[in-house]
Amino acid sequence: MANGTIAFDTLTTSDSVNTGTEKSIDTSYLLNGSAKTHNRFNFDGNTVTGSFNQSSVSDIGTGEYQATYTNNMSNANYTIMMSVGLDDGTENDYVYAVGTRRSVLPTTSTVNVQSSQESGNGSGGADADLVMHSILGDLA
Amino acid sequence: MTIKTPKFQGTHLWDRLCWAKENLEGKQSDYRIVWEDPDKPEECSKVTVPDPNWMACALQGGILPPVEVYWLLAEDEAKPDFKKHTRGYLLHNTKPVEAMTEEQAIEYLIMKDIPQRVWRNYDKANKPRLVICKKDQLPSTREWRNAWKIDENVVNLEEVA
Repeated sequence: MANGTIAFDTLTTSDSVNTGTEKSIDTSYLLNGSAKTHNRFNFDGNTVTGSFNQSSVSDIGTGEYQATYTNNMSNANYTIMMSVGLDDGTENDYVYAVGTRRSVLPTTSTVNVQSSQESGNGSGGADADLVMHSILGDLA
Repeated sequence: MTIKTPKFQGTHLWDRLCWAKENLEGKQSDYRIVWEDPDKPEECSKVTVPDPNWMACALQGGILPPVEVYWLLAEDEAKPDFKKHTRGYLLHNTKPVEAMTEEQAIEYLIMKDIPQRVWRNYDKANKPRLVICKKDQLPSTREWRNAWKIDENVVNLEEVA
């Protein structure tokens, strides 16, 4: 496969199929709006099952991991999106909570993610099969 | 078929990772790094899992910066007046490291992602605090996960509680 570069500042479409109104978007908007890292971790399997721009995941304890990035973020004021789910063969309604670890702020190279059976009651972490996060922000 | 890494020095590291994602097969390592923080002896053992895409980059060579670059950035971030990185170019402009074996990559990962207080002089501590093992040497269930500790009788890097 040949590798090449297409340099452009603005992407424009006539949008003739839908509205017929021309629309444009800055390339920098696309770059800034794309996820800079993502991770999908399975506690039971102790395995990363999907990822980009991270070097490792450390299993810190029940329901908690620390992800470390390969390309640091520029600063620690970035946005983290998370999700958690179970794949335990049971179909009744049951939703876990997930968030950044209390009092462990993200750094430019790491984020600590904790999943729990209940949010806000100090019940401690709980392992889940599908714990996921992605990050938006500026790269170093 | 072996694919050749482009000359990446000076290319943004994130762009290199995009190239790797497109061209390299992820490598799920069987190695796990089990460690304990000497500053937090009451805490359980941590288990570091190498990322498969990162491992593929390490094995390929010519993509990842030297680990010392990460130390410099960590020093910058530890300063009290830190706002944002101003030496991110070190990630992109420093000559990338050559291809590593999986074992060398694990050593690099220890020095990159585990606190220095854990691995510096790890072999001189009065109890083991860093062990490299295979995934199947970990406990088979996560029951009592928060009580996991490295067996004090571990005598080499192939044995773990």
